[in-house]
Amino acid sequence: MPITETDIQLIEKHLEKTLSNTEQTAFDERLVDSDFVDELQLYQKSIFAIQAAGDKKLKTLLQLEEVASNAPPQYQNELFIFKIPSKWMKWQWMALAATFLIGAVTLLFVLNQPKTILATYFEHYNIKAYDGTRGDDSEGVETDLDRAYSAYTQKHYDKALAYFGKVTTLDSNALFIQSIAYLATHQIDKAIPILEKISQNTNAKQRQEAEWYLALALSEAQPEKAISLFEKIKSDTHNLHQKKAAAILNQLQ
Amino acid sequence: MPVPATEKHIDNQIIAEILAGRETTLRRIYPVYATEFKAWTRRYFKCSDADLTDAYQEALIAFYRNIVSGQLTELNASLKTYLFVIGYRHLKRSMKRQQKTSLVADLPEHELPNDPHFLQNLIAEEEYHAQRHLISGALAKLPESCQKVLELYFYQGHSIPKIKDLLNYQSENSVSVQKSRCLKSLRDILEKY
Repeated sequence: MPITETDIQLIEKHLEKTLSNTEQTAFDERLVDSDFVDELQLYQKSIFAIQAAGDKKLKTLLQLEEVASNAPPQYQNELFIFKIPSKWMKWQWMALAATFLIGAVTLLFVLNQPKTILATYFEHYNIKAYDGTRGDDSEGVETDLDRAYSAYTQKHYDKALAYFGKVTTLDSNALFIQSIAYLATHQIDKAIPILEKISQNTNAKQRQEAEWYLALALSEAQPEKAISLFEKIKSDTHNLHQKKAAAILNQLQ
Repeated sequence: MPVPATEKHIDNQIIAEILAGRETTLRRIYPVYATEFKAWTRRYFKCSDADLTDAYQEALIAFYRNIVSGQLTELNASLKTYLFVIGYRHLKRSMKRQQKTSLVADLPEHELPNDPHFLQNLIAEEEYHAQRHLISGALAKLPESCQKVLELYFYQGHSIPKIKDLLNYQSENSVSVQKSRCLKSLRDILEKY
């Protein structure tokens, strides 16, 4: 018997464990049809494929975690190491108290700092002359863009982002600096689209830098894409970050 | 050996943290037992450091998958036992498959938790591993928007309303329609496998 739209709905609900009693009866009755069983198996295989892909992605994330934990000391980044979300600070105190009861294992858990690739390899980008630090109409008057650059230079990233937010249109130079400030404040989702845009623009002066920071950002959320980008950087012998990308990839292998 | 009540409470709190924070929490757990796991498994296996790292990562992935899929809601053994035994079984399985790892000693029975659900999970884990690598690349053949919806729903276990917010969909219905459409596309790809 041919597979109908209702059959597909029954199969989906079965896989999601949301069949009502009536639907369950209808589902059970359809199990005598070999075409229905074949269709069910294909859908089960699909769920399996999603799980397998999810595991693969998670594995890559954990591998990057391992690489970060073995990174040379010069890459242990103070900016990220001392920034623990307040929720985890709370965790720390709670668990410190619990340590008296349950011993060193818990203490080890809560005191562990996250060592991600981004946290390990992130470095403040020093603004170069070609990045441009003033707007065209800014002669003699300090603009919000000037204030943003100034706050960024002093590593006051939150302040810099607030000033960038006040500027109506940011050019690609300003966007790049803004994306670094996003990364420094761990706003990865906001940094990624900006860095993607700059790294795809072959005329952008900061293209190489943007690719490197993009790879670092992707290592937090889309590790397979990050690895492809590290490979691209590694293959370019003129790339400023070639050695660091090669070191990360070597450790992964 | 029974798990002390406070330790059990904290381990189960980790389950709640994983459900709330997903991958981020798992990554925070990662360094906690990594060194100890390697030292412990060296008592049973003669193999490379990379193999031990791999086994530890696989144990964490299994732990994570069982939580987000709703199969593991409470730990009756300690988190450490759970991870160590799964890692041990992974090494033993890979030893059989590749014959590059050799077993020094068998894990004593008393080190296995006396928990039928735990053992059932282990068996399911082994069946899963046998096929996993064969079809893990199928999802990558779909457009990225499809991959994301399917991953969030079927792997991360997020609800439709949560996915609507995460991916900025207009309505929950659009998420449901997209999910069904993408699952069908994946089914079409796998039909040719």
